[in-house]
Amino acid sequence: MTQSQQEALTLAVVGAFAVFIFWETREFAAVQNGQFSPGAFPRLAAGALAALAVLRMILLVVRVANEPPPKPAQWAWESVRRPLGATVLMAAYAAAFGSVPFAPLTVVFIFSAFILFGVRPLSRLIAGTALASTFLYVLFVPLLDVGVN
Amino acid sequence: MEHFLSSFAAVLLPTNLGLLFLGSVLGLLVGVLPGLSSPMALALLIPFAFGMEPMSAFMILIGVYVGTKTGGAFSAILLRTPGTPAAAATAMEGYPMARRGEAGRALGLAIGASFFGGMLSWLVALPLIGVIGTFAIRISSADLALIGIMALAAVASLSGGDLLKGLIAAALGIVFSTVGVDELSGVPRLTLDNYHLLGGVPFLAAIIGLFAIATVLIDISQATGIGATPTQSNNFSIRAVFRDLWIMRKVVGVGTIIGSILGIVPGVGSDTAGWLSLAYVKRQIGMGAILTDRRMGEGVPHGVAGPEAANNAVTGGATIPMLTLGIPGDGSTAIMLGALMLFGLQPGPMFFQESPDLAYGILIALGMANLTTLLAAFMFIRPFVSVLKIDRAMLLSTVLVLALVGSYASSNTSYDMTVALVFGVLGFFMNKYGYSIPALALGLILGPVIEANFRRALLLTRGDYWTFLTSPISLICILIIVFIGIKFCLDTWRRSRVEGDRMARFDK
Repeated sequence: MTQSQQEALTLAVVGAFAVFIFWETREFAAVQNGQFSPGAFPRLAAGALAALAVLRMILLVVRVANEPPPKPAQWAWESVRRPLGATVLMAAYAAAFGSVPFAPLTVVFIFSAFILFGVRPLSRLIAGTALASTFLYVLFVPLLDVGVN
Repeated sequence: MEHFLSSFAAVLLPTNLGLLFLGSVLGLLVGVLPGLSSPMALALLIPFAFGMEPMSAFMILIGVYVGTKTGGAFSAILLRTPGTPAAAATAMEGYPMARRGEAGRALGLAIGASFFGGMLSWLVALPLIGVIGTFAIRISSADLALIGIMALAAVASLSGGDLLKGLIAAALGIVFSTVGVDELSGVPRLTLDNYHLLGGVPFLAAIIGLFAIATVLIDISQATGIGATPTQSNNFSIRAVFRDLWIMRKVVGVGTIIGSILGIVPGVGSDTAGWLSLAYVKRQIGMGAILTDRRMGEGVPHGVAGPEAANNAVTGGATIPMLTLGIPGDGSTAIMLGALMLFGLQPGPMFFQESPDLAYGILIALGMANLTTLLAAFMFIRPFVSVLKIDRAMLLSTVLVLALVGSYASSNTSYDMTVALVFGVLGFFMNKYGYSIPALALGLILGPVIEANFRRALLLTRGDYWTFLTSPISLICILIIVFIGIKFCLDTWRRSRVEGDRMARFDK
């Protein structure tokens, strides 16, 4: 996918989101009992969002028409692997939070994140995990009021 | 005056001064480390500060806000990697100075100029806040709604470079701000039948996601690390710093004026102030007004003092719209305004009337923070330099846990962690495709302000839209919005002409 195609896709997502907001606020009329309805402002913002996305899309089309043909984009796996891994790790951490005791959960998270982010060698990995986990445990347990085991 | 003096006494309490100093140290630390920013530090700190008294909480937050501005210069000078965007201009002359073996002198100049810039702009802001505060009470709802829209347009046009993308981000923020029960009618909106959303999008979790989680995701996707070893600062002398600053007083003064003025304008920010001040230094050297045997790019000390004074002077200017109108100028001030709202306070024209002790306390703390930052920077200059050697992977992983647990701690529900994660991923993609994250954050903050005033104005005039065109303030706001629109059209037209010429040459 070229840069322009990716940009067009993001604009389409923005447009679809604006349409979704209109759909969600469909039961509100613009004016109710002579007053600005509670749904009017979100609809106004969504309308602006849609209009801006369309305008940006037009500018994008004009720009692409004037550009030389794009080179096929290289898929940079390296730039996706780590953010994706970190997101999965965070989602797992959030899902397990509260049901798994805080200390072991945080140790596992930190250890996995260090591996993902490329901390080597093993001695540094273990020492770093111990240090960071202790720091976070000391910092958070009083704040969380020990409500998370 | 009575409130001012009592707030002054409150700020001088040892606990509050200690928190201010702690905030400065934390701010310097965050500023020193490239990739960690002031909004990120503030967002991560709010869950901790939330358990304190509002005055104490703001001591630490303001310390961080001011500290990061100074801290950014450390890595800019030693590694040519600005710790914060505000310090980008400092790197241009600071790093060559470090390469010449003058790292200590450059660091000292940066710290000293930051102090004078911040302090002088605070002194300028003090009387102005009084004047604008008195005037702000008379501003109508219609004016406030338009001031909010103007601020959003200004931030959108300046923060990302592409006005339309900035406006899309701001509109997205406004849409998110409308989720939850409508305050005027009590009707739930955009809640998707999810009871969690009845209270709206949790602001703190969203901000933590946008400024902390997104920043880490962006950082690791670029896979950049600190490759260089920081230059050691070995020739540092406080007396020499003040002697240098006295020689460069004109550059520092002009930098302060530039920063103070730009600070008032929403969206312009510290980085622009730094670059403008550097341009001034360059011009002065070109005209022969500054006598130096070095050319620009070879380590001109004035090129460190000017930008640093300017980017710190922004703090004073930015406080004026923040405290008097409730309009934030950038991500950091937006988060501080959000923190005020979390404490149940309403920043805006009535803030000084309704919460005078806290309002004056914040104002005084801002001045004092320059002093504590100066002290902390001089005291811990060597440890701060060593901090640059910390492994980024360890730092970023720790930030992720801080962000997740911090969002949990704000309301003790793991739902907020999910919100932080969702906004983190959203922020990552927004950054990847050039949409401004500060514009979205500002939309989130200003959305309710704009909506409430917009609807109040219509309610008072029984739906008469002409109310938005009848006062001079409204007209000025509309003119500025139109100016931003025209400027964007002209820029687009100019760019397309240049592109057309390039294509014509390509065809030949």
